[in-house]
Amino acid sequence: MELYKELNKNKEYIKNTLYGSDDIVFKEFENNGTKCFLIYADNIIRGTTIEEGILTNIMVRGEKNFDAFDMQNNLIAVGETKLVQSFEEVFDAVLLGDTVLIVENDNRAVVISTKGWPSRGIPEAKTEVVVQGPKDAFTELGSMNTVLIRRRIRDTALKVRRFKCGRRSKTDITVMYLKDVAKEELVENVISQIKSLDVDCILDSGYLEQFMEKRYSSPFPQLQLTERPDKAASAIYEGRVAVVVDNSPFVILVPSTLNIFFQSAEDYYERWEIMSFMRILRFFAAILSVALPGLYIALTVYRPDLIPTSLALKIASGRAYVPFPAIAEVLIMETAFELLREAGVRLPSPVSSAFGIVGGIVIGSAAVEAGIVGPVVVIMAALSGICSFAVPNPAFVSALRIVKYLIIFMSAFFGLFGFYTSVFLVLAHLASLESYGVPYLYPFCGGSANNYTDFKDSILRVPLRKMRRRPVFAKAGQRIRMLFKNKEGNK
Amino acid sequence: MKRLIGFVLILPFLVTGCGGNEIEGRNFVSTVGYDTETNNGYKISLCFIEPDGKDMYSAAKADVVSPTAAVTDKVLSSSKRQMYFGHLKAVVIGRSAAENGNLNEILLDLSSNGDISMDTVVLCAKNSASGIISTVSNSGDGLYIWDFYKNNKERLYSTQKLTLAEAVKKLDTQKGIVIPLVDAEDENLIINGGVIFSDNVKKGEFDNNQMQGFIYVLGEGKGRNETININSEAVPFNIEKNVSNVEFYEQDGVLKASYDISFKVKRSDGFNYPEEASEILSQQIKEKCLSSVEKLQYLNCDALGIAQRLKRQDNALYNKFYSEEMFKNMVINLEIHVEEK
Amino acid sequence: MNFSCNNKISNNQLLAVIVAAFLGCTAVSAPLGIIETAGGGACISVFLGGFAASIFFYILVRLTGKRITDSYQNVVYNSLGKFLGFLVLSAIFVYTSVYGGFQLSTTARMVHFTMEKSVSSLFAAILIVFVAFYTALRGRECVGRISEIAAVLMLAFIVFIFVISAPSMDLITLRPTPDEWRGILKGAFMSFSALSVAGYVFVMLPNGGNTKKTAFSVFLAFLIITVVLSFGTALAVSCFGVEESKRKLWPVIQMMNYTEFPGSLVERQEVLMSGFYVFSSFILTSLSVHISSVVLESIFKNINRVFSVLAACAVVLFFCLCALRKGGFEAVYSVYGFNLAMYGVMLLAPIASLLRRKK
Repeated sequence: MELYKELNKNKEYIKNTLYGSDDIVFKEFENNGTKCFLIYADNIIRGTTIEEGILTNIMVRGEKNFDAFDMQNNLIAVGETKLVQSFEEVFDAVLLGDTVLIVENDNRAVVISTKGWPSRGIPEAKTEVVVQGPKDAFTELGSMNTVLIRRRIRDTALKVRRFKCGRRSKTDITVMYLKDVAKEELVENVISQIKSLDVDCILDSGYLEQFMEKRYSSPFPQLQLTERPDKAASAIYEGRVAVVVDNSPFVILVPSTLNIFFQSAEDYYERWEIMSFMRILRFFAAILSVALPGLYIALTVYRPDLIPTSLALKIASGRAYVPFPAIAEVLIMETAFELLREAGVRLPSPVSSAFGIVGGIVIGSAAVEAGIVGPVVVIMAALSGICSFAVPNPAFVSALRIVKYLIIFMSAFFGLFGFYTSVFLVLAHLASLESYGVPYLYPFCGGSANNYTDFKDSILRVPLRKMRRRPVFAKAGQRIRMLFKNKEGNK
Repeated sequence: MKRLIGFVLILPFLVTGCGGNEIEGRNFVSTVGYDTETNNGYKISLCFIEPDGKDMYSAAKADVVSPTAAVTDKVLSSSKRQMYFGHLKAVVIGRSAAENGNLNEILLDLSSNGDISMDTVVLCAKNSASGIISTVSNSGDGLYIWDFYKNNKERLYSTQKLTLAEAVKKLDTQKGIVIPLVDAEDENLIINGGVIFSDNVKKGEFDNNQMQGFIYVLGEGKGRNETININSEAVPFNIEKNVSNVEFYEQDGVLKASYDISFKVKRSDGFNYPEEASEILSQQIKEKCLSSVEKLQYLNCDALGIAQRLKRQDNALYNKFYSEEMFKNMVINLEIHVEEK
Repeated sequence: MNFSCNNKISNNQLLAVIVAAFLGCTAVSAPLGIIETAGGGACISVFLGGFAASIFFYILVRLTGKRITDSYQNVVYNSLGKFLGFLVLSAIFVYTSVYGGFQLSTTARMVHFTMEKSVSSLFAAILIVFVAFYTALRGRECVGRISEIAAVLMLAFIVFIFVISAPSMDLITLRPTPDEWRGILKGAFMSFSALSVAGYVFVMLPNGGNTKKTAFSVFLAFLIITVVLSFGTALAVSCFGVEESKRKLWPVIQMMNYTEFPGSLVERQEVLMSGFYVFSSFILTSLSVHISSVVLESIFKNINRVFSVLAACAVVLFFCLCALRKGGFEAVYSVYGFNLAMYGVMLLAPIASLLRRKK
């Protein structure tokens, strides 16, 4: 609906629409006889901008018959202003923290950028902790997050495109990418997906992630969420696209493959030998966390002849007085461990470490002494849980925790064959997943697309000097990212 | 449609024969012994290990009288647990079973049992297998024979490790086999010497020296010690390499086999070796090898696999001289070469 | 351009599919018949036959590859006309279902006897078909990708086994006797036939692209299978001896029992080997179901994708059940191999020549 020329009509409409919102401030004043009407939301705006940048200038220097355009260009001393003509734009602006100025006899309003959302400053990364490397993390302020990425990419090719998503929340979504490196179809795909979303609200990047995923029924994440600006910048350099969601300290990175979930930010800050070892350890830990409980059941119940004799005898004697079958024992321990983990997340930090110790002792030793579970199962459940923590990405770990139960049940019902079947099923599922056209198991599948160079940054991380090519996410002609000069000074 | 697919997915879990016997519900049979009964059946002695939470585990013995050599998990015992043969380590064939020609039946029954590993050691008892089993079960943990072979893997002095797999293969291809001999003495087991089988029947025995000679002729002497006695002093040589090659030829209408057995030996520190030590060693080894080969020929037991080798090397010669007594009539020459390191 | 989401597989994935799917099943089932025929020279038979199959498929792909600019089924229809195309595709459907079903029955039996006695052959077959249903539903890209991983793991495992087992090989047993040469040649032909069944992977061919590279991928795949199979047969024969090998149902699998892993944690290694075979069987069954469903879709144009895969699964399971019944096992070994493989050869060769002429 268009604004009226008459100020009173505009005032009346706006006041009726925003009736009941006591934090919306309406200020009527005159500018040398010309009536003006100011609307803003209290506490969202920057403190002194209205007094110094708007009111003072208008009241002191304003001239009669200045219209909105004149106000915008001559009087308002704020960097970002624009003219709007509809009530919807006025309301959007006010609710987003901007100030709107309506002048008598003008059907245009001036939207003045005065956003001053309260925020908690730049925090330290909590979920992606590194020993060596930057420690800053994203905040809930989308504009701040964009700035943190911009600091690391001072290139004119970095494009920052803003959209609003959510019918009622009108959340700011910012898509960032390098124009000459990222594939156009990927960028267009992401933007069209965001634009086509028709939903009430986007409260967090997790919401948007679930809407953007192609196979939402899969427990495995197909997009990466990160709270680290350096990781986001690194992803953009590789040709991926970063989606910053306002009110969320996590930025979405697309596309994402399984290999990426095993990479930690500090993989590139420390030496390649130790980091290669860590990568191998992570893959091994992931396999162990998923397969160990199922394998234990398959071997002890169905094929004890596969276990070395002394170990088999030890397990058997450890279970001699346990009243539950092996599957129940494993489920009890795994569930107990999951409960411990979940409770530990929600406890206040002074209490959580003590709780973890007590819980471990109670569940471990006491349960064994009471004869509820055997000692081997306690070790196995603990090892399986600890191994899951070795994987850097929490979303991927959650998927592993779910898949583990599938393997446990299949092994319990069908023994070793059930174990093999469930493993194959999981692999088949992973093989069928894609993330914006890139196979999920890349570079282990389809590695020939980039001449197998992406293996240099998969299970092993080769020295940085050897990583001269960008991954397959980048445009075909933009795969070289590093050149060395020879003795003659030629690249 | 989705419901149908879901039902089909759940169906196997509902109707499958899920669940095996829990590991603590099994008795692990470590050793099995076979003796024949008067009514043509078998007395099968089992040494099994019972898991016990308090003391870890303990060994016990059970005897079963059975009309066949078949070993199944339905064997009755005084124990409430299932007899499990997945960790069977050794099979002992008693004297009576060896002399009555039941070797093939016993070994084939064992090899066809899916639970039993083909790595199971096969032994022959000097007297009854039941006595050996009693000794094994009285040893505490019931793993006597397995521990013996595990700890002496590389340096079995006067015997060799014969697994079920090898035994079945040799019976099949050679018709003759030598199974290591075991005897119980004062609650200890002594494994040396061997029992000679031909056509599944026990024909004779090797003593200690003959068994060693047999091993040398096969070329499996690496890692063993050969001791010579000089002036009442035992002086050891360590055999680092032992290679055996055989060539066949015909001479004067007689089939001849010429074995070329070479050794690389090393002297041990701390002993006085006289000058003639190497010659004495060479002579001693030759005597042992000759003794074993002569015994095998006397019993017409081709435990060396000579017929098979002749068939592969020179089929024409094999076809010309093949007969039931080919091995017995063959002239076998042994050339022993000992090289000191 | 995205390199995914186009329902095509790359040349490397085609190589992986062939290796992963056929390495396992031929390693298990083929050597028995060849050892019975060729005796100690079985490994020579396998190598000769396999090499001949590699050359044969190289030539076949070079001849037909350029013509397959559209999907294989459409090319058949366009080249042969509707009626003949329908007959040929129906024959391919029956052929892949039968082969898939028979291989499935062998796997199910092996699972029951070697791996897990408590799981009956029937349920093992049902589980494998269930997995194949899921994989086939996801399309050929899923089959291709998982084959890439499985092929590498399988080959690494096999090479490791061979390296450990090779020093203990008894070469004397492998030396063929003069009267065995006729059997060796016959065994070579059996080996050639056994590998020829893999001809139906033509349905999976990458469309267009570089035919030379595709042909080389196919040649390399069969060569790898040949080398591995020859070595495996040699190991099995030297391990068991000729006579005992003939008595073994699955000599290459059971040979694992005689292999000593250094510092091994696991006691019964043949169960591990059978795990590798089960993986191969999953891929082969998925491939069979996928190809059957694709062919079914080209015969019945408007059929729903889920229905076609379900129907293919049902047919494969039916043939598997036929083979699993009493007496069916012997029937499988008498029908499958030589006869069945020849039908595959007979199907492909005239199609290839017809395609060439129709251009």
